Amino acid sequence: MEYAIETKQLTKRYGNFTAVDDLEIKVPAGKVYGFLGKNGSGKTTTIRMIMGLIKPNNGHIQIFGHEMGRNHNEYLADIGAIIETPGFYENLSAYENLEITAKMFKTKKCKINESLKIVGLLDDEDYDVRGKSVGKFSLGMKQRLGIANALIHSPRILILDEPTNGLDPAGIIEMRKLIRHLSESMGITIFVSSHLLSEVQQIADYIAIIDKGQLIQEGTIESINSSEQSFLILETDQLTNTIQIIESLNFDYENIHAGIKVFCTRKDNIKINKLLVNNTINVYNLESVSKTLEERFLGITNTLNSEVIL
Amino acid sequence: MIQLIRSESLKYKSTYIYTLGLLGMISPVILIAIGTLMVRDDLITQGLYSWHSFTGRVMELFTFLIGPLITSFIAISAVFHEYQSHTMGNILSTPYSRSKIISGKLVYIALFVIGLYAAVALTNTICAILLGFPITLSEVIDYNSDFLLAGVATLVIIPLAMLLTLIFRSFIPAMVISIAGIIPNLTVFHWDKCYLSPWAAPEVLVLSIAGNLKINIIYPTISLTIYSALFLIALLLYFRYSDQY
Repeated sequence: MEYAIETKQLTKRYGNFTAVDDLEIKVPAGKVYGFLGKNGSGKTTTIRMIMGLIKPNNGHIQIFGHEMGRNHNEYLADIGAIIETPGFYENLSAYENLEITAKMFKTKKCKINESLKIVGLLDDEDYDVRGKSVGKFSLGMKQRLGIANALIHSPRILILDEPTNGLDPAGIIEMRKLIRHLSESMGITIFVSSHLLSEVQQIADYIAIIDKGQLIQEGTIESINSSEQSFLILETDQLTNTIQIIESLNFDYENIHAGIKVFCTRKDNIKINKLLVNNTINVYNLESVSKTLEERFLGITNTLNSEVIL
Repeated sequence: MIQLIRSESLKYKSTYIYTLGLLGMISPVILIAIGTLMVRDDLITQGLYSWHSFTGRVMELFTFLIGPLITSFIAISAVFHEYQSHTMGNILSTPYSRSKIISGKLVYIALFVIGLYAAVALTNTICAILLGFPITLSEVIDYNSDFLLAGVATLVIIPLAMLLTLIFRSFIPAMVISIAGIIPNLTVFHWDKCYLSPWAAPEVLVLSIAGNLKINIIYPTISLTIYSALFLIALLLYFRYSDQY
């Protein structure tokens, strides 16, 4: 598999505080990669290092297999990014702002209109904000313009740091659609960081969970969802005896409509099943329920961040 | 590099940088011209007040105070404008090295400042014509050269002003230091070591060349060369190796 971004032992320290700790991530080319972590977990610091804005204390970053260096950053021609809030010259119009970027990337001016069309800030009918001063733009429009700005030079990688921050629900839905559209129709690798689990779950093909600067887990959403059992659902013909067996094994359980919910690992399912059979208990249903990404994320980050929308 | 300079030229449209820069630079000349018209009109007619004296007054006020102050203001604004607009990250996300990016900005500001000094020289000549001074071609060349030399010499403070703004990430400390830096300019006729100040050295150089100050031009020249190299290297190294964005 070709990787668009690959980091090896990436570390960033500020005094005694380690913001990013030995981070190793692999972002597959052409996919949407969700970089999930609560606030202050090291997401933005990682992105800043990828973009060469800050120096890592240790480690390497490869872009499409090429080693990057902070002062040899030709590789940035392959990347478009919005880091934190998209920055614009508010004294200038949307078109003039994009013209500056186009000049810096030596891109043809026609790409400006193309980019504005992709993000929906310009259409063939009446909608045209090219001449409007950026200072009068709403946050949602600025986010869209930020993406247009990042797309001007036809990058192979688009890095979006918390792209839905401050957007209203309708804006969030539009942003999700746009990200999927960019990945599916243009084949751009999209690296999207977020503390919003629901957002990442809905748009990403791959996901990495980071906490305290360390990578906790990385893989496809399906692999992460199915990798750990949340509980076991048991439905038998002798509920009282079943509960006795479960209690003898010291597992926590909960009564549910037609059976019990047992909190144990996937390996324990074998032991439970054997005991039930040996005690001549008929099992109607033995269902392993995996932890959802949400449960894993909350388990990993320990505390529920009040901003997480589930 | 050309692309960087061209993109710089687009950024300051509709900002106070162009307007204040130009007005600040030419207004002292116009004010002195108006004052001269009101008070010394008769003296000009009688040939007792010459363009040489007029230019001397403009030069004193301009190269003593206004020129270096506005040059600092423009250099500081050019960097601060990026922080204010949160666009420093955008620039650094382009495939140019940090050295090229800051050099592009520096070159653009330098060209802009020289342009403003040329505007002052032109305004001075126009005012002389309007006031009715008898002028000769050699005077036009001499005085305009003095203004342009002042402009070129004043470029020394641009990397310093940019560096201070980068370090403090704010307009205020850099501007306060620049205003304080102008103080030695007021002592130029009273302190023979005035060229040790990077703000005063351009003035000492121009006044020495014009013959208004009895100081060997080698001293302000050495001072300007050392300061230019020092500030430029400090700016490039700081921007290249810091985590500034």
